Amino acid sequence: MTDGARKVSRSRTASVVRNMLLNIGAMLGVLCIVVALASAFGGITPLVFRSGSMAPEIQAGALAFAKQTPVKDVAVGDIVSVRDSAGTRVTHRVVSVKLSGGTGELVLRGDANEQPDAETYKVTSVDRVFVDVPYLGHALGWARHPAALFLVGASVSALLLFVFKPRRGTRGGGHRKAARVGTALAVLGLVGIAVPGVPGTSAAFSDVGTMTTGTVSAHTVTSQAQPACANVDGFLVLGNIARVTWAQVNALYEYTWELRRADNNSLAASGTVGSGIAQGATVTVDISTGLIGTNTNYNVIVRARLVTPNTWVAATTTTTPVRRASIIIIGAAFRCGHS
Amino acid sequence: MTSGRHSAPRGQRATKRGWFGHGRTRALLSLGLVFGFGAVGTMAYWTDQGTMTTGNISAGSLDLRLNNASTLIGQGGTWNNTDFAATSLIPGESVAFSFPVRNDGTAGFRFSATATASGTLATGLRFTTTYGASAASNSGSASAGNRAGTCGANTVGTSSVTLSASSASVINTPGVTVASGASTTVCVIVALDSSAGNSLQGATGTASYVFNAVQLS
Repeated sequence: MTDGARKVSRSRTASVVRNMLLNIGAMLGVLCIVVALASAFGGITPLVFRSGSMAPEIQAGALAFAKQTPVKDVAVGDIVSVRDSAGTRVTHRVVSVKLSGGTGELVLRGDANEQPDAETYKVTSVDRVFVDVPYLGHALGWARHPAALFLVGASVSALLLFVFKPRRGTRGGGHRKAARVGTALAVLGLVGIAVPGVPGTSAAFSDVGTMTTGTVSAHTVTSQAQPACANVDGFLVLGNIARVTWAQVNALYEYTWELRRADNNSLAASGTVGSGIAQGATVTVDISTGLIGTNTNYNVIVRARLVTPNTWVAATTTTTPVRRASIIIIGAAFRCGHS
Repeated sequence: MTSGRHSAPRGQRATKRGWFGHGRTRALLSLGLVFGFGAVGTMAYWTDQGTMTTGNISAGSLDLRLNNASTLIGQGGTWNNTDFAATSLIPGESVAFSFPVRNDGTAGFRFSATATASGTLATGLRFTTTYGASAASNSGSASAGNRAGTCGANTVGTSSVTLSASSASVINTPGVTVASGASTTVCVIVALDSSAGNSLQGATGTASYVFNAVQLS
């Protein structure tokens, strides 16, 4: 190869690269201008997916465009972007819509999530995703990094200088001026690209854990065993009583007892015993003649209950038969059993 | 290559015009790249520095685990907490249970919780759900009928809630933040209401807690 041929080849390669860069730059530039106009006037919002909860359809790092849409136009299956109660933007698929007036209650679920979002979103309008581009969000994310900013700025400056640099053999005062203006614009433009201002949408990865408890049960008030009855004699013919006893079932219990006539069930006497008695210790009710004056058969009916609250009572009662009887004409006594 | 060498200058002139016209036009259009996206929400950046720090893209995972590192690995799952049980409660008694909610994912999350209850006793049970650093503490005894559960200095999510078959929020959204690799203790006090009716004797109930974790943005 001659020197001349090498020079021609080099300048041709440079020209091709330059043209390619310009073409790509111009195309992206037009695209960006369209997007900017669309977002300014058309209610279009660019969104960067920061997580993969909409995977596999939309991966983390994708850039999507969403159009502001009234909630009444939202259909199940749409991918929409809303703000949750914490102010975070969430972009998920619509599971259900409940409309009331202009407001809708949306249930959303990420495709990669097992469960719908815990929150029901109350909205009047949403940003409905209509297109998404994989990986582009990453590029925008990187563009925010200071090193990337520098690179972008440098390449934009280089691009502009490359174009506006005075060509060999031309008097390029105007071009030099243009280059300076271009560089200044590029530096200003850096601020622009530094702030894509594309709202991140967390798309919210989620996980649901369920805990089931063991069984919680309430106490059952258990009735006392069938009481024992013993005839206890006092002094001579006085104080002969029927003593009804049973074992304390639970230290938390007390017992209501009633003395009722066996023939007509009328209540002759009643009382409460057993509070504070230890479990297994003996609870005693003495049925004495002082309680009633009629010689006949009676029943002692005992029901267990909690001391607190005493509304919790045993489902069953015990019945112990006793009788009032005369002793040696002048005396009287309570004895166990009916006559 | 050899044949194209002589036509190179012509080709150069031809490509200079390109699809979009002159180089300068295209360069100006390229400026659109710089201003295009920048036009969207520039104000948000200058008024709120916080927006910059939340720009991370995470391809990571989210994994909420209950109790310990090996319970509920991955998405979903149900842990039957058999320790969360009590027998022979009398009205006014309460018991407390606690367990860690762990974040075994690569990103921070915040969780909320909903709960349901079933069984006849559910109408008499009152659930207090707390979270923080304190574990459950129980005093008293069944034989004395004075069991009482407490959850220390935890933050109360919801207090004395009656749970039913329909799901109720017990830790409201946005919920509790847990960093990746960290855990928070959830402590639940279940009480049998002191005015619970006689008909609830011997009744039983169970509860189900659903923890919803959402990745922090």
